[in-house]
Amino acid sequence: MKKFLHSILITFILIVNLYAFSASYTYDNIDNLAYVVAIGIDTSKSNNLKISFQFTDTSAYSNDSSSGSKGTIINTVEAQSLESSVNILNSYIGKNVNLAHCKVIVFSEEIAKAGLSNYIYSLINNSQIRPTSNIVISKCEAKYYLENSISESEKLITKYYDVFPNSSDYTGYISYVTLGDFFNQITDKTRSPVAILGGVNAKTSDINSGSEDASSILASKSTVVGERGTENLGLAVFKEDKLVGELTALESLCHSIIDNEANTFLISIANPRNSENTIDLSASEYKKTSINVDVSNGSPYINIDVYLNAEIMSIDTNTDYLDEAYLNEVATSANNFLASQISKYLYKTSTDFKSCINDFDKYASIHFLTNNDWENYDWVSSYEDAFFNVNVYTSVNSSMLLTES
Amino acid sequence: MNLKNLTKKLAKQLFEYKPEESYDFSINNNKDNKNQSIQLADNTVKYEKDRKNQTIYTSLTINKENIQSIFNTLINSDIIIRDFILNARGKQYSAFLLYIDGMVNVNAINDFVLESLMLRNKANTYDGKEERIIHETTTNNITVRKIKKFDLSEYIYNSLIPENSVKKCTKFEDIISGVNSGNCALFIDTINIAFDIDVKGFNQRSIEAPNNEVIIKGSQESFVENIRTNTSQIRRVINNENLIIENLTVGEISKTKCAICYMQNITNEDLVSEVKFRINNLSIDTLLSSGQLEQLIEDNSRFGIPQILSTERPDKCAKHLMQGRVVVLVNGTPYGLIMPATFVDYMSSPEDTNIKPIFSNFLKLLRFIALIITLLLPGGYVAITSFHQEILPTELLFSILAARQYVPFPIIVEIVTMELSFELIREAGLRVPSPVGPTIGIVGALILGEAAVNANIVSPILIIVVAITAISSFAIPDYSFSFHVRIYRFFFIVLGFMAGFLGLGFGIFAYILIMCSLKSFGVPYTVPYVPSSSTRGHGYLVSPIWKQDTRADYLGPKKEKSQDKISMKWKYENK
Amino acid sequence: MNSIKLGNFEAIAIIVTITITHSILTLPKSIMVPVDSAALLNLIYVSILALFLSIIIYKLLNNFPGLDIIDISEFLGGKILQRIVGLLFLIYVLFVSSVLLRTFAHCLKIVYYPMTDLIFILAIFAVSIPISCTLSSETIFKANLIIIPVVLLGIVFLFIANTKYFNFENIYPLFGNGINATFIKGASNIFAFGGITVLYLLPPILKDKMQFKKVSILSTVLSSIYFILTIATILFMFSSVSFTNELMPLYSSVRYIEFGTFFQRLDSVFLLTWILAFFCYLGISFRFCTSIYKKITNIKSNKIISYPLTLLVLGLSLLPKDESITSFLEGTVYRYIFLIFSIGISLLILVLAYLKKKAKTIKE
Repeated sequence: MKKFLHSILITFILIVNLYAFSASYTYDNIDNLAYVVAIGIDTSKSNNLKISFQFTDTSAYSNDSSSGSKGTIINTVEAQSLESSVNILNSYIGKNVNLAHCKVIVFSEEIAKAGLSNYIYSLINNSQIRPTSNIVISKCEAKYYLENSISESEKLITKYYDVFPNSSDYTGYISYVTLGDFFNQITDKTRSPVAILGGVNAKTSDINSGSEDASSILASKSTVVGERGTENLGLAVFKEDKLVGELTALESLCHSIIDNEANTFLISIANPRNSENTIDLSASEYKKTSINVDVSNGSPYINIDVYLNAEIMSIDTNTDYLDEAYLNEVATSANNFLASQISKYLYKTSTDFKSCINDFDKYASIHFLTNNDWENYDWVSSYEDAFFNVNVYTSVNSSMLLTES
Repeated sequence: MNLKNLTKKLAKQLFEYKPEESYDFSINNNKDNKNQSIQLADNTVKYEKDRKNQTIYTSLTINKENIQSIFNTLINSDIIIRDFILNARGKQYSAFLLYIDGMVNVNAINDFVLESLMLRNKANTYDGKEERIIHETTTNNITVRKIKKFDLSEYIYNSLIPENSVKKCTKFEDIISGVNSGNCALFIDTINIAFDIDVKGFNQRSIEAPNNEVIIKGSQESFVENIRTNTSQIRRVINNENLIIENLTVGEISKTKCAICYMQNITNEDLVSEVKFRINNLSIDTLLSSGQLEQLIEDNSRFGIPQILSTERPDKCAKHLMQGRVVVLVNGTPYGLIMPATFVDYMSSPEDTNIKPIFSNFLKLLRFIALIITLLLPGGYVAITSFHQEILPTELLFSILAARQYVPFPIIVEIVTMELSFELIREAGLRVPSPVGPTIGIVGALILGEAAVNANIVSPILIIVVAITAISSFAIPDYSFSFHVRIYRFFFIVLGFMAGFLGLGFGIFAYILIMCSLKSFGVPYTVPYVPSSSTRGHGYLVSPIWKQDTRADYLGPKKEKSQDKISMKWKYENK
Repeated sequence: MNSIKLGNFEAIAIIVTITITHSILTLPKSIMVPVDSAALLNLIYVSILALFLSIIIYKLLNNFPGLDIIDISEFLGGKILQRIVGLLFLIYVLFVSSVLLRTFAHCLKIVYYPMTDLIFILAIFAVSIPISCTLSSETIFKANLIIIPVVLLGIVFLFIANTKYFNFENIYPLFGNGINATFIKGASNIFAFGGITVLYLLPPILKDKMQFKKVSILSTVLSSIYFILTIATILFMFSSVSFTNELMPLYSSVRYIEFGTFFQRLDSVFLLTWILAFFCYLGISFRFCTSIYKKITNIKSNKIISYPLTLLVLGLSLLPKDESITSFLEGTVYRYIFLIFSIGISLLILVLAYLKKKAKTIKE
């Protein structure tokens, strides 16, 4: 009798639980979900948000590739917040919108200038969104950015979104900024975040108005002409949560060098023996950048030592690349060039942007014993009067395959 | 009144305290008496050696008593002592023949030993005590004769045993080794010599290669239906007189013969008594197979997890006997039961000690992964696609979506259908007549699977999941164990469908609890990990054979040491 | 209770389980908010305090070999005190289990089951309790020993996999909110070592009573290593403001783990291991509950009592109306109950019993 009642009880619990969780099941089942791969947030005319959701066309993933589809589908909704826009879109699409595979979140410049903290907090609060999605600030409309980020020869936009932030590793021209990093930096009162800067890529060379060297190229002003309509170059600088400026490619490289984010990168310096030419060096940091912040005299005095190893990539005629004197000259030229660029970048952040976007605050807090002392020091205003001393120590090893020309 | 009684009865049935009917047997492995037992074991070894080094006595009675004690003939059922009267030269001497039933050619004994010794013929009716005169001289009326005295043993050796290989032995040791290998021994009153006669005649292979436990580098013999042949196979491998094979009968009508085999100087006595107790206390009419016996004597049959190893290989039985386990053979079934058995034993194959440890450990890890895949892959697939899609890489997720675009069924229906069809194919494959067998395999697996995918009834990814699960289930060495895993995976599918990883976690927790609660003849199922004991040589991973110098202490063996610490004396002690 | 015979590892695993289960919920937040960036320093300090505490408990219990605190309270004050102490332990265990169960179920609901009612998630946990209590007596402890190494490995893996996000300068300023907050008020963070309560009940169920010292010290050391890893992960990954905001800080740190584009969002796998640890925790707590109940009421079998206790804890976990009450119970009330009950009252009973015994021996 007891065993019979036992089995009745177990069956009852099983059936009840099967039914009870089925609500979650019908909500979450793979067949009933539409996966967003990118979100774009713009302002609309009526003070609402215009949010664009990018989906992929699943037939792009099947073997029969004769469908000739574009590969992505973009739906735009106007609403007051991200959650309400998802809500409205749910009834339009018919499937449940799921943000678990969202790779990129694009904000337009206007939204960024007005302040991003509310949006970032809502995004982090959402259990579906990954904290490892990338944040892009686009100089054009976010919707335009999403529409043009897939090139005609590609079918899988997700691959592009997965891979493009990794260029920070080998160029240093952008930074691998994720939602989680952004949130951490926004909530940290003494540091401000940066974001990837995206923009329009002019498809013809007439419209482009950028100059040729890396010192002033950024998104929408690069010299690339290609079939992808958008490009990501440079960084967007924030003070607290508002956009205050942009960094060019070279300035972004300086930012990456200080934060030890760039593994290898290319720099073009003036040839010490022939000022008309430039030499390209492939450099990498062999030691972490050493930062020392001295706060004893009121304004912070920040000493930065950068240690690089470099190989010469561009070859000049009639040069011996194993000649120590020549290599030393190249190294000195590189040191001077980089030191001046990094200095320029640092003074730009402290005097123009008035925003600390590197980790100097952490090194400064070493000198304080309690949070009270640290808060009384008021790092944010002290940073505006900071002095920087940048030393670059490059050791040029050799050229690549040729040792002499 | 009736209702009141009924309510009372119901309440009593539901809430009354009934003392738990748990059968709690554990092996007494008293470590405090360890020194005592080591001494006892050493004494026993010395005593046995002394006994065997004894020379054969002239008194038949003393010889017989010695033999009976060495071979434990009172309990050892296949040791036969045949007493008879030997006729030689008109005189009659008491004698007995000692042999092991099943190992000897009975016709040879009858025709060439017993007949010539017992029946009257010209050779043994030779009359008188005549001595043979070798030389005779007469000097001064005194006759000096050189005669050869009548020697019974010579006489018997030369004239009365027309067998091709007969040896005279003076020590018990020689006789015992001869009898163990299948010879018969002749003891005669008044002489201190025994004859070791070669009459080997055990049944050789109609013994075939094992069907279900195939290994590459080991013996290719398996058990047959005749219990005597099976016991002889084990005896040949063990080759030691301490192997006791006791006979029991089970079943009041069928009186099926069962044999309990154990090593007297190794196996724990409590274990042996427990096995005998359980088998002797079965009141059933018939026992037809070892599978039935297994179900009747195992500790806990509630969960379907096997607790007794079933094997058709005599070398596997011998290996486990040497470790201190008990083997039970049932007449009529080519399977032996080994007890106690733990989780580690079910995941081991007989090949593991035949090949190098690095290969067998690789295979063991593979089997463990196969176990996890068989149990959890279908349930995990359902759970991930229903609740946790963020784990999947984005491209894989979209491939699954693209593949499932035209499939009308939800994932749970797909997977249960495919798993059930696979079980159907497996079951049908057992009964397919052999000419048609391969064709059905091709039809079932390839065409049905491919046709189902092309008809958009199932998605291709699901076919892969089901196929990998099926292949992994075949990688588990033991049949009963893999069967229970196949059943349990359906529970995991339901749990995964119901509540995703929460349901799976509940299932895994319940499964681990069940494993930990099981005991096999007093040995916890998850030993030697939980409760922890030494894993030297007995853990899940195999250690090199020269490191396996002690027997598993959870079996409570009498003889813990099985090798010297340095067993490869050729390598280390000559330096 | 006396039929259980636990080995060393099983006993250590019990205490570590109780520590782990609390720490995957809001415990890191409760520890780190008062001390801010000095969390790691404070944790090392608190670990040393916990080690001293476990040594003191061992030494006091050693005066009564083979007896747990309930038997000792019977020695001290007769059956009445025994029943009071037993009841207090019961209430303590039930309270903690129900609060943790509610928090964990709520977290699961938010992350994975937004449309399911809370009671069904609670029911799945509740169903596991009678199962673990009614199988044979040592089963849950053995299962715990199998599951806990997997969970610990997961934590180590979490620490290693997140190293690229670590910012070691987050430990500055060194003393956080001040020396007072770090060392004096911060000493109350010892409530993180909730497993120490089990030490009071452990002596009679150990197989080898001589190993009790080893068990108590090793378990405290293992718990503190585990805590240091957890707190270090959270402290180095997040800024001080963000970890005050997280519901489950450890879960948030798991969401960052990424290896290329293939292994992403492994949080479900970690959550699976934490669910297993939680099942073990519930099983162990209720095993102790039923044993205590059997001791104080002399019922014949302790297995049947698991059913009403399950229903009780199910009801208790449904009581709080919203999360603010639950987080208050878990963060504040639990802290003070641990300090008053596990440290204050229990140590007092042990000390008084020791004095009584000493007085008795002097009399004799």
